[in-house]
Amino acid sequence: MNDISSSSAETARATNDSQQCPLDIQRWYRRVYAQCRSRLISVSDSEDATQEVFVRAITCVSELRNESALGGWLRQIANHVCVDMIRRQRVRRTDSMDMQTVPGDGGSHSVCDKDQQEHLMSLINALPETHREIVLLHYYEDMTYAEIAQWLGIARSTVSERLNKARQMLRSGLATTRSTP
Amino acid sequence: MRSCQQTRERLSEWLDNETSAADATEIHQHLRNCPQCQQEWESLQSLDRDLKATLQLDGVDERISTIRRVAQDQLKSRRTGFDTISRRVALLAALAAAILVALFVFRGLDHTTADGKAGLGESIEPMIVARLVKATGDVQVMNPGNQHWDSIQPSTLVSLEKGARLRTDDSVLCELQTVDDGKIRVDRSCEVVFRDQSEIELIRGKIWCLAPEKNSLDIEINSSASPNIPIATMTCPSGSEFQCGVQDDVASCQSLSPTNSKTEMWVGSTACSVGPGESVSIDSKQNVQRNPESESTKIWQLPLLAIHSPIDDELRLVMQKLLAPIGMTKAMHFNEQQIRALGPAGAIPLLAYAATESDASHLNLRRTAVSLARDLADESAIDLLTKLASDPDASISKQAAETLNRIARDQ
Repeated sequence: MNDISSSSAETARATNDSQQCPLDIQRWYRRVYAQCRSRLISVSDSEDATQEVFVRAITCVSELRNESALGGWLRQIANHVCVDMIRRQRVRRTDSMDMQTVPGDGGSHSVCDKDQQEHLMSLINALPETHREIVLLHYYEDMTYAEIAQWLGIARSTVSERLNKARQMLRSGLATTRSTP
Repeated sequence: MRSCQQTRERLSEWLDNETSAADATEIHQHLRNCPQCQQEWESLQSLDRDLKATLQLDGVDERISTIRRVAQDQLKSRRTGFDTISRRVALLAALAAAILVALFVFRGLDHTTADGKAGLGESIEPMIVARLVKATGDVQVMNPGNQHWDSIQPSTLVSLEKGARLRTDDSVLCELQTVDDGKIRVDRSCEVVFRDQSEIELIRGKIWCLAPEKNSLDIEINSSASPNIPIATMTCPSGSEFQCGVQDDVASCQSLSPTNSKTEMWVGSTACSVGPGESVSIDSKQNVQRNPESESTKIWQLPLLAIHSPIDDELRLVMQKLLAPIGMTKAMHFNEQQIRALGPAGAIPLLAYAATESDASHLNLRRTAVSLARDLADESAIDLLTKLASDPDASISKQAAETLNRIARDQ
């Protein structure tokens, strides 16, 4: 694809967006999903919650007086939605995992890989929520430490420490299970 | 040369290309000379590959288009619903009017029956989330979509639409009831937004709330400095009694009843638990302060309960509970202090209680109430005192008469 057509497609999409929806969902989707997922664990609940967050945000975006606060505002809505969900349905936070968790049937993974991935996912779900969210943000969206720090409102060094700690915990989890066949 | 420990601590950062160039060189050199750390590094890389493979987020575009569709539908039904309907109604009305006019003109009749009111009353019913039950003075309400405040007199029972704002000045208290029977009392100089039947935003001042038996009540506490980022959010579990406030960008929450369920105050993604009887305050920098036993500061709401006579059961119960121990134990000296701290406003519930309690076994409590009110009452209590001055109990009537004299002298 050449540059001109791609940029005009983007412009078209952007105009379309601004006409239909004052909020750039594409920009925020992954991080809001990571927040919901780290709270709710279950994939389908997290998807529902993320949808609810954006629908609420889009329908109330006119109330937002300061656009630079959009991120914090979304985070807060997401927090609300998750609390609601946990309360209303006593969300299956303890569920091991949904089957869709692992991108399956892609052809590139063997059954064994899939088992391993499910196992890794269950270890991720067992991490402390604050650590899990950083892992999800880093891998879902490839956010830098500085971006994660800004989004979560914590120090960059905390991001680094938590990600490091999370990886250590995951590795020791994998090592324990591998050594006991 | 870095130690193995120091190097391993930085491997995660290095993996993410988040180390400085100098650090990167040192780590690189260390790994070349240290097989153990090299092994560690490989294991980390392998985990990274596994995580990348496991944490793929597919179908984002589809989900975004679903969100757009759902949001569009909601916006349409909310905003343009009225326009579409009113436009259709207007069109029909115009058509009907044209036909009528044509008919009347044709028949040579006058137009007195022509219906000019078509289209009115057809607007979409606003969603009512709460109503004002009582107030000690004019309350100001701003309905969604409006830019101005309407002054509401205490005698009118107003329904509040979803999104309505309500504020009180420095002399007015009020009580509201949500559609699912939650109770909210608003202190003086307070501003709240009724986002939904179970969602309240506190912008200024203090509120007391009793969550309905079946639902919980969400409260978002905002800072006036940055109104879009709440200082904290919390959920009052069903049936529980809380008091929340915001002052100088410090959000506070008190769990007032020992029978309350435990809840959490959320600051960003951090939860701060609030146990029964506890009080917690959080500033905008997320510094948390907690007191295990909250002081019984809910007494400020009492005057509000006494607005209508006869007083309701709730006030009767609270007064009994507060008054019964006064004079009996030293510990309960506290209750007396709290009531006295209310000043003249505190005399109203005391006297209202004394004037309406009919149970003979509570005579002592009525006497306590009147003797406490004796020092507090001002001219706002004259009506109640006059009633009590003819009370069958000699002690009560004497004290009431003396208080009336004192007020007259003060004036």
